[in-house]
Amino acid sequence: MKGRPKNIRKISFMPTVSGFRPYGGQTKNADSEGVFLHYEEYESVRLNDYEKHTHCESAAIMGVSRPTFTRIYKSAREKIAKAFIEGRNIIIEGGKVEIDGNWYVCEECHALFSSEGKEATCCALCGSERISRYTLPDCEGEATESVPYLENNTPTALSAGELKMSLPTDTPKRGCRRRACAHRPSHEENK
Amino acid sequence: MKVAITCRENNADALIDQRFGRCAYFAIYNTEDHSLEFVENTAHNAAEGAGPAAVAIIANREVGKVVSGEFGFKIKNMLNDLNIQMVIFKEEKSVKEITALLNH
Repeated sequence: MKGRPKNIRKISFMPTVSGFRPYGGQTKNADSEGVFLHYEEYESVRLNDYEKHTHCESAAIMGVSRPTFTRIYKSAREKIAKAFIEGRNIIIEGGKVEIDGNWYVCEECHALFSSEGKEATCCALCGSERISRYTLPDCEGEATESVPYLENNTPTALSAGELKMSLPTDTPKRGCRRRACAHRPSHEENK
Repeated sequence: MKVAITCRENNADALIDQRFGRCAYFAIYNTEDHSLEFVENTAHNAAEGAGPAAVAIIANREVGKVVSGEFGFKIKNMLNDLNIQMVIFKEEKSVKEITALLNH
């Protein structure tokens, strides 16, 4: 038995680069094994350090619980530190993720556009038909284009409002228990 | 259909503004009669919640599509609920060039 399955982490966009290479070190280190930074770890660093959200907000954005987010972030920082100190390459790939929302990319004008609830047939900006779904390459065979929580993977059966209600809600089930957190459930109801 | 484009100044040669919530102006372009009007973004200097306030401004004008460089996470769900399509365009083009692309 493998234990409880992982929740799928939601990321907003693909990383801007595929990785990083150090320079100026001894050639022996530069050719050594790279460090694999998962897409969700990259996203955790982006949300927490770049966009300056709290762990609680970032966890809600990614669709995981706050402790899970902290573990992902800790793993990201340790991998980055390891790459720094040992002079290794950082390769960004892998992880159990999906792109948040229904996005398409146009090959003609390079615009990205959303298309909730229906299939897009042409670019929303220039009208070209050379469009494709904006999705991650197959990693570990698990992250695919299909939306796993819809029963038969056809969102056309539901309207946009109904689709939103059938998705797992963003807030974690019990609410964050940190004293000062805004998401903390009120205890007055339970008294 | 009305399309909102975030821009830095209120003229057709202005470049697209890369942020949605805190852009300087919205250019509202009507694809049917090709009219173009500029609306100032009053949420520009808001301390917090600039995104939702900006969504209210364009929703009041019955816009169906919005073009910008990036959208914050707070407003993605709001725009989906209002059926306003989001288009992310990262290249530095002017409002005039974008309206030309929309006239396909």
